[in-house]
Amino acid sequence: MSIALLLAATLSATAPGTAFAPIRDEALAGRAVRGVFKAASLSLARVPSCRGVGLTRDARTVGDFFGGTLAQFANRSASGPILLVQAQSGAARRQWVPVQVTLHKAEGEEEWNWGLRFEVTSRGPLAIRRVSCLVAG
Amino acid sequence: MAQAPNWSAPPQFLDKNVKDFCGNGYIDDSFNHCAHFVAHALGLSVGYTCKKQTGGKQDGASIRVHELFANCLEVGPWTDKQAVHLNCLVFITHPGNVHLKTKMMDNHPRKHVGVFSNGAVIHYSNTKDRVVRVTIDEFKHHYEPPYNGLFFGTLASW
Repeated sequence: MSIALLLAATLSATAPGTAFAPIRDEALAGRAVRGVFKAASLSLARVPSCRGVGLTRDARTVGDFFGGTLAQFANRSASGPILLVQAQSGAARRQWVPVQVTLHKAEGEEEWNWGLRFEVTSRGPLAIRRVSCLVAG
Repeated sequence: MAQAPNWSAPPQFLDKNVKDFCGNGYIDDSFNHCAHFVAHALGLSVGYTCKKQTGGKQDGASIRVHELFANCLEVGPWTDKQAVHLNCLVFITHPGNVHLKTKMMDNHPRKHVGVFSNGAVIHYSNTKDRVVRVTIDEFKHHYEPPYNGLFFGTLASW
C-alpha cells in the first residue's frame, strides 16, 4: 500500500501575529513541498531548532529527519490529512514566502505534527532560506 | 537563576488548553504539547523552547520530551522508582528508545511525558486538547505495547 500524502487544511498560529493557513495555490504548495527536498542536505547540527531531532542516532541531515518522520506513516491508513502545507497569512504575494510543511499524525492518544518551516521563493528559480525544524513532544 | 520546580502548580492547569498557559503563541492544537505543558507547569526551560520557536516575549518552556529526559537528575524504569520520590516526571515510550546509561532518549514521535504527583499523573492530552489527571495504571495504557514502557525522571533546580 502506498503512503498517502494529502494536502491539508488547518489553521495554525505559531507566534503572536504569525498565523499560517493552508496554501490554496497549487503552484505555491508545490514549491513548498519541493523546498523540503531542497533542504534535505542541510546539516541538523547547523540549525539550532534542528539539533537532536533525528529519529535515529545516525540522522545527520534534514533529509534524515524528514524521511524518518515520513516513515512513521509507512503502510498505515489515516483518517485525516497527513501532509500539511501552509503559508504565512497574507504573504503569498511576496518574493520570499514563509511556509511550513509538516507531517501530522492523529491516532488514538497519539498526536503530533512535525516538519519544517522555511521561506521559499514564490516565482522564478526555486530557492529556500531560513530553515527551521518544527518538533514538539 | 534556576528555581526548584513548583510541584503544587500542575493541578492548577487541569482542564486548561495550551492557549491558556503559553504566552509565547505556541498554541497550535495539531502540535504535541505534553512536554510543553510539563515545562510551563514546573518552570523548565532546557533545550528548545516555545519562546525560541516563536520569538515570543514570555519565559520559554521546553517543548521536547527527550530534552526533558536528558536533563533529569536521575532516570530509571518506573519499577525502580523509590518511594521517596513523591514527585517526579513520568515518561512513556518504547523501552528500546531509552538509553539509561547515557540518560538519553531517542526522538521517536511516540513518546509522552506527564507530572507524577500525589499518586496521580497530570498530563496534556493532545487528543482532548487539555490537561487531564489519570491514575498511573491509566497512563500505562496511553500507548499500546511495546510503546508503553514507563520511566521516571527526577528534577533538580534548573
